[in-house]
Amino acid sequence: MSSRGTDSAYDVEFRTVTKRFGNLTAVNAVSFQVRQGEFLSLLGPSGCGKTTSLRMIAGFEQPDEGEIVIGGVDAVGTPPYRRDVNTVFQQYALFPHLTVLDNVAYGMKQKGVGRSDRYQRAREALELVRLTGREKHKPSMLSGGQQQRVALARALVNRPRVLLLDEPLGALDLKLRKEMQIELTRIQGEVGITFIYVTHDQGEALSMSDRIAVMSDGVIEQLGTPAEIYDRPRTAFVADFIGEMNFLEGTVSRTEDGEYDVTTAGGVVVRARGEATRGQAVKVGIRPARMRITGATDDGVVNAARAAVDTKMYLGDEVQVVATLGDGTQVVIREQRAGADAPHDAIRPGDPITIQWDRNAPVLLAETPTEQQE
Amino acid sequence: MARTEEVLESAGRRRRSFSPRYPGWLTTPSLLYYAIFFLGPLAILVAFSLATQTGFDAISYGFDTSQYHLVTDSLYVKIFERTLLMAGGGSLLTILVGYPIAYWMARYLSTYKLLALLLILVPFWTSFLIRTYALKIILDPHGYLAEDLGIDIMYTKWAVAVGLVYNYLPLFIIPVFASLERMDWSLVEAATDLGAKPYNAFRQITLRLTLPGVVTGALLVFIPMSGEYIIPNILSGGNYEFVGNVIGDQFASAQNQPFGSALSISLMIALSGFVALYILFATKEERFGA
Amino acid sequence: MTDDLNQLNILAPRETKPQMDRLYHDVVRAVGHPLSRRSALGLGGLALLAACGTKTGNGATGGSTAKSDALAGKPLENHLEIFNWSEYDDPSTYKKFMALPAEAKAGLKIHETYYSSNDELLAKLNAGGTTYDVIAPSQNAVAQLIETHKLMKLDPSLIPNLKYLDPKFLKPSYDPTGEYHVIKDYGITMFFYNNQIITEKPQTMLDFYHLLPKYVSKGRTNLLDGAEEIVPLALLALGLDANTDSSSDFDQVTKFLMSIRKGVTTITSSSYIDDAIAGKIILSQGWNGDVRRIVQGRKKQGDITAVLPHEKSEIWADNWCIPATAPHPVAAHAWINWLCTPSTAVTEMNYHNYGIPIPQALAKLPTSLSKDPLFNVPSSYTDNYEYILNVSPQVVQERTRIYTQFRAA
Repeated sequence: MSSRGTDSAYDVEFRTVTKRFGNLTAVNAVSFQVRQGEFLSLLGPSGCGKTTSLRMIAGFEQPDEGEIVIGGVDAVGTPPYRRDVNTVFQQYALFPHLTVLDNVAYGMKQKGVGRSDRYQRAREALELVRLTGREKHKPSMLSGGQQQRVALARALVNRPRVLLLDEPLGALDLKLRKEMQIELTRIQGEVGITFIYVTHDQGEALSMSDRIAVMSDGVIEQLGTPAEIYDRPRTAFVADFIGEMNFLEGTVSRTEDGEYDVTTAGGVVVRARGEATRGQAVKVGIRPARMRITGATDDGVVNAARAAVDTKMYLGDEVQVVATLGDGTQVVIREQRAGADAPHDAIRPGDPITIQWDRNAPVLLAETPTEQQE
Repeated sequence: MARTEEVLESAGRRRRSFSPRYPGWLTTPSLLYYAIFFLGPLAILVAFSLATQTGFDAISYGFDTSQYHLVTDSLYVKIFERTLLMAGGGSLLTILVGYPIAYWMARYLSTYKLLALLLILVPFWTSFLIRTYALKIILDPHGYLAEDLGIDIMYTKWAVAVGLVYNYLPLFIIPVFASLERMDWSLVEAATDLGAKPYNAFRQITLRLTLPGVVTGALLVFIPMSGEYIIPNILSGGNYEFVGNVIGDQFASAQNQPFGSALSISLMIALSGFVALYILFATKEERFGA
Repeated sequence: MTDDLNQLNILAPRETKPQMDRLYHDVVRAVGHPLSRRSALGLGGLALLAACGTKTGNGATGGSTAKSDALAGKPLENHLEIFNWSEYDDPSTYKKFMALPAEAKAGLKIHETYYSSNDELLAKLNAGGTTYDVIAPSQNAVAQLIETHKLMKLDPSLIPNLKYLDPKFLKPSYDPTGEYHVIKDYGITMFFYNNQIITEKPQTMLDFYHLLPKYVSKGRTNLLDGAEEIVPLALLALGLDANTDSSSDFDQVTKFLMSIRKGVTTITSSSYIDDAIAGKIILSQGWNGDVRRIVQGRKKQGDITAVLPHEKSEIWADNWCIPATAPHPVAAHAWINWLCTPSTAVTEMNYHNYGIPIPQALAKLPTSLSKDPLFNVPSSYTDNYEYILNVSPQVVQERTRIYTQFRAA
């Protein structure tokens, strides 16, 4: 807390950080910055390096190469107890022998805050997380959600520069998790502390984060706002990991006026906005929600493809159709149901259909992430 | 603790659906065994302690408490004090030696954890007596330890202390290792994360949470140390008598079974006091299930 | 006699005890010295705790009424059950006995089991139900066994070789009528010191005690262990009766012992031998057989002076006795008679290195033994020495109390 208010624009900065465990490279030359007060999620499947990155910020692990700058100061070599960051652990890691109040006051006790002072502040922190009346209880007497709130209060009460959250909602049931997501964003808004949030749940990341860093195999595939990540995934991995995506492979057959055409093996022509290199074999992605089923059956039209219906499924307000294109590629189409007499209500498995999309729907995907800053 | 609730809950469920009755007669063999081989000798000891000696090889049974009055003689009180003090000191030393080993094994060993545990236990499979004799060789006044390192402690209370620690160490390490194995190390990370220096995190979290194991282990070694006979006999050179040695002398050379029995019963009562304290502590700990 | 190896009994099954004892002796032998009386022999002890429990009878079994003269003319039995200290007799003594004409004719077979302390022997006999024919108790146990009617009166007509024994050993204080025992061997308690460090010339046990506090800072000092050693030896040094039951004597000896307590480094009856041979002990009591070994072991350095105390000290004896309940009393008498044969005594003395008071046998020993006063202690000394007896339960308990107090100080 002492170093609070340095003029660095970033609370945390990774500079080509590498961490290895034996032969395994958990984090591979990763660089990124976390802005003051932002809610950044590290998102990826297990083993992608997100937790290792978080533990390096906390100080539980030291990088093999590179620098980790916290509040403008290189923190490599600084032990956890001298870092101005606090962690909310996956299983909460509440001290079972201490009361809720003593758990929350623990950090202040280490810093030598006086007894009445620290209990006062601990009570305030418990109010912030909306858990009062349980001060004298032992953690084992609380529900999972309540323990979660204690863990949050215990970390927040120290007013760290950065709060690290390691899949904090993983152990909660769905309903409670939704509730806590809202709580977390509320609390972050109230305290204004930088949150770095590790999760493998893309929905969680999309709904809470200012920015998301999608990680895979120890590198950041893409870092951007939820909208950027969702709408403009840079790689097939990101596209696939964040929501559903239909992939079409083909060759760039035409480039003109900020547009390009990709012709697939099955003769489908995808026309999209953007830059591409003529003659290159590429992969484009189209979200299921951006596709629609039409009655038309014209051949040779761009951004349209004929397909045969495999399955049809109602998902409340939406209907999901899985169909196979001429070249055997399977696609998923998800459409809002306009009303009780929507046209695709009549569709049956085996029916031929035509699928269409707008030219701003396709996304050109790279196989590997390109180096990107901001 | 959530686990306890679960257990209670599942027990409750079982009672509601399917509850096999435990047939009481299954305990009969165990109860008989205890009655004959535990309560029986104890009863004989009590009968001896209340009897009166009428000559060599002759005692008359009755209710004579004079032997117990004799136990409170300052000489024997002093020996009781010394015994308990030595056993307490030995237990403390055992904690200081055993805890770091258990800690290291539980926290830092993975592949070789079981091997290490085995190595700790191996000496326990050898005869107690032979181990103590082996120690005598090491502590010998003309051994390496004495002549090269200047640690000449044979025939002193330190030799007895070394003997106590050496012989009972595994008995301490096992429960402490078990409690350290159950330790959630993320709690230590949480503590350091919250600003606790390593020593404070160890003291406030690790040591505190493994305290039940430490207390159990300490009691497990304290009790037999208090009843020790061989170690002071072999290593003290006749200088540090434990109650056990006095009891032995009473049965053997003094041929005074009533007094020997009274001493034995008194020792048992004294140790029962410590066990009672332990039970009190254990019940208190259980309440928050640490 | 609370000695080291006692626990062997508890840790090993009883039937393995002879093997365990043998193992121990092999180890001792391998290290390079022969038997010591109560160190090597003094195994066991706590086992008697187990024996105690069985039947602590009000057990005056009417042993003494067993009329020995009824034995005369009875045939020799074909079995002999010996209960003995382990490794205490030459193996050839057994073989030759069974090969004697009458014994061979009767087809006599010997079975021997072992005990490791007098306490153990007493506990066994007190528990009752034994089938031993011959036992070898020390003098204090003999006195107690006579008092509790556990021994059979011997029939002198069946032990003609008694005539070879030195008459002085026929009616000792522990068996004043001489009817219950025949001496097996004997020894005395003495002391030794390092003459490079101790310049005084101590002559008596009292001299020895007085030097303890003065020299304890210069090296290890040692007293023989056991209530029946610590207290009576100090009584003797003070010129009092070793077997006293007077409380003022006990008060006096307690005061005396406590006054020299700080001068005593160790109280052991076994480990002092090796340590003394290694030159670690500067002043200690010892039994003559052990001291003889120490002097031999320090011959090169020549720094050990052994002293047969002037005035009073302890004489001890191990004895052949027949329990009142012996099922084969004729064979038992034959055995004792065989051990009194001078040629057997020579074999035995060469084996265990303790004196047997048979002048004809002593004369046949090599001079290295017969002329060594530490083996063949001159009677000018032994005449003054006293046997230590288990006088009464009260005396034994008082000694133990003082002993405990001394050790705990």
